Amino acid sequence: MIDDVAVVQPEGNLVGGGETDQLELQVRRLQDWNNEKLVIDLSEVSYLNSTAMGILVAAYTNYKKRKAAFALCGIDKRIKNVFAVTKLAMVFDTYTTLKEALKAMGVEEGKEEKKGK
Amino acid sequence: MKNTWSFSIPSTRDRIHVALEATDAWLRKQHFREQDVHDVTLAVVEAVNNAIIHGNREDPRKKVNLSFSLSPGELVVRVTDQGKGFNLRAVPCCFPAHPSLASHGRGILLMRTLVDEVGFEPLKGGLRVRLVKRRDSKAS
Repeated sequence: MIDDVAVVQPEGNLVGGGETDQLELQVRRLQDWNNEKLVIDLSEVSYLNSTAMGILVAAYTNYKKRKAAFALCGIDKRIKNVFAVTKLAMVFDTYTTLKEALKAMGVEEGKEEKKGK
Repeated sequence: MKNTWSFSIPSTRDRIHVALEATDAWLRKQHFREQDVHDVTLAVVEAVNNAIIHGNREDPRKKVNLSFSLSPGELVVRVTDQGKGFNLRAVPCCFPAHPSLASHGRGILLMRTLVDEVGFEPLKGGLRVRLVKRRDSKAS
């Protein structure tokens, strides 16, 4: 957590295997705790398939229903292209860096350095 | 002259990354452009996911076979499972104009967007997905 913002930073390829299950579990746990601000930092992710997209969409829907904040950051340009063709680029709030995402969620400058790269 | 290559994986989700890493590495060796490496690998991963989950129902005794055939003009990848196939008519042709908030149903549409051709061939004991990526000669 950075202030009241939960930051999830998956690594590797989110293509339907163990890493994808791990992401789903982390996000579900945060939802169960009624977390109100979540940033998923994708800067260490090279491949993201339709299964992982489904998890991101389900998370977005859950946060939106609860009027909570949900954002993505650090998206590789090739993954951005996939978001564009699936039209999900029109859905998600996205930021170039974790710092920008945290700032948008009201975290004061400097606090993100504890977690950000 | 054709450059061909094939391998099989068992039908467990923890093997998806094997198909991904092998495909990515082979395409790089063939000097595909970065975006094409990503698009073809992701299309292959979608086909492998469907083969493992919907085709072979995650039965580790069943295999998913991947074969690659590269000629100067195009790459053809075939992903074959040992399952019962599915109703292709239920799959829409393309992404709707407005974004869908469904958590499933993007895999085949994504494949169709990432490569130039996607074909489905029902076999006696399985389904074969055929992915074709045409290659720009300037990039070779």
